[in-house]
Amino acid sequence: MSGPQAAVLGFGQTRYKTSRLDVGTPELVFEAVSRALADADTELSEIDAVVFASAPEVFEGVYEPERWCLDAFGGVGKPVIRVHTGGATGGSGPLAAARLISAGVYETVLVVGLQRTSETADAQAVFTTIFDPIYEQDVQLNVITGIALVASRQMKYFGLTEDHMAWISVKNFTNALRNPYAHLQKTITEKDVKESRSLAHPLRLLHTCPRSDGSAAVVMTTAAKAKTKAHAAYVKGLGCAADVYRIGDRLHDDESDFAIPRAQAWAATEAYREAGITNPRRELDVVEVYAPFANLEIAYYESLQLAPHGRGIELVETGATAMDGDIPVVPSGGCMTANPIGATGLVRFGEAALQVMGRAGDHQVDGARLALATACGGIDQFYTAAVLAAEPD
Amino acid sequence: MTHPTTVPARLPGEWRIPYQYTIGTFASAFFDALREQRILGCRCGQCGRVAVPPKSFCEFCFIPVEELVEVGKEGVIEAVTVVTAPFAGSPPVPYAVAYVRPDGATSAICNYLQGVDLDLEDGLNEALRIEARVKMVFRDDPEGRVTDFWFEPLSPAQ
Repeated sequence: MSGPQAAVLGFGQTRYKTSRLDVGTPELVFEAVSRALADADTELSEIDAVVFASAPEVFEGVYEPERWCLDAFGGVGKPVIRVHTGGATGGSGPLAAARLISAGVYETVLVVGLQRTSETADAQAVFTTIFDPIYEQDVQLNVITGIALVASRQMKYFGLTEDHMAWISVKNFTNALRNPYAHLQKTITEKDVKESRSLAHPLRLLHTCPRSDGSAAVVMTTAAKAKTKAHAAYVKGLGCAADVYRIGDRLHDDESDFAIPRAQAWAATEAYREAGITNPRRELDVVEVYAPFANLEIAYYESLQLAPHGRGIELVETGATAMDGDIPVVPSGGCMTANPIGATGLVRFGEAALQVMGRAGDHQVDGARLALATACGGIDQFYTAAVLAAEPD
Repeated sequence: MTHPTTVPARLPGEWRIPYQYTIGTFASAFFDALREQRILGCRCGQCGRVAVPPKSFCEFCFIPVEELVEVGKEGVIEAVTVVTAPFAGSPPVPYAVAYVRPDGATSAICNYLQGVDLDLEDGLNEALRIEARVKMVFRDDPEGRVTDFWFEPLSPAQ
């Protein structure tokens, strides 16, 4: 990046729950935004622009939620931009903000993420509408069946087993016990995972994420301004990439195998190049990956170059990604324990910022200096990657 | 001073919006061919890739595609799942969904996989394995939708 380096000043999030019945949707947004401003020691008058990130509004049942929530995020009189890349929306929001800051367009930008997934009774019915109405919707594809199809290929070609997936679930649920904002806070065993209800072979209930109501916000500014504040995380590298729409068009050769998501690899490669990272496994201290299903986390180990091609399962077998491993992945519990979809990528970004600031509380990775946050959306179609550092360039 | 109620309410709402999806001549030709129990793809004049279902451009070469070609009525499973939990609008469970690459095609198409024992007690049936061969079976009373055909194992299910 040329131009000013971007930095994160503060992060605010809501306690994720199935339903936050005590607040309307703009009120939920207000809660996250006011927490982020306080955390950033920043007044609303200092915000030059707002990036609003929310994914399919069919969840909220209100078209253009950026209008609905505008006064609740302090957007009156300011430039407001909405970004939407499906589940990756919350990753695209801070990426857009950082680029605006580095381009010198705005100095201080507020990024707001929102999703309420409980306003409609059947989330998978919403997800069916994101598939192609000509060829795919009649087969009732949804997110769970789509990711089960990915898992079928990981099992066939990459050695994935139920044991690996159960280990990931237990790791993430255990981590969530130390995150007061996590939606699911319960102790589970590998036996619980293997005996949980089958949804779509090989996926079971405890391999998946909950439906969460939630909002999150971050305040971003230039590194120069951030240096005057009590705490900040610095943007070292960013990447994003997208893949072809129909799943069937992604199934053509080893390079596009619908098992190890190539667009996540493209996004990470760009972020590592900007950050000057040549050995992510060694150089990164912590990873906040957006993986709503246990099998996907293992696939991303390879996309993110934490493991060589075909060897993602080794990070499970050696325990490397546990809290006490050499590369902890989702110390927060990640999106398997809280998934306010359009906000989830922003939660990963905010959690990564907290880690390098040393402010992640009970789920802090000791001495974390360099963190990666990712987001995915649109059934393996949109991806982002962001590297955050404790020190400015 | 009045404080807000501690018993929050919810208001019911509903989106009910009918659509007519415009599908274009390539998809229309695909559905017409299904009525004749044929599967159509499109061949890129530059790279030669055969996409099924067809579309009027090649995303690799980024040029228009003009040629529709018939592909095989058999193919190979590329990805498969057995859905065991009912979702709104889904068929009765369990049911199998697969992406199959038809012979002569370079991409895969999704549909239901029928004629297989879906009991998962002893793991997935062999006929539901990736790389297993299947055939396309066509409805007698086509509706002009992708569900006018489905997949079945090429060899009788074990």
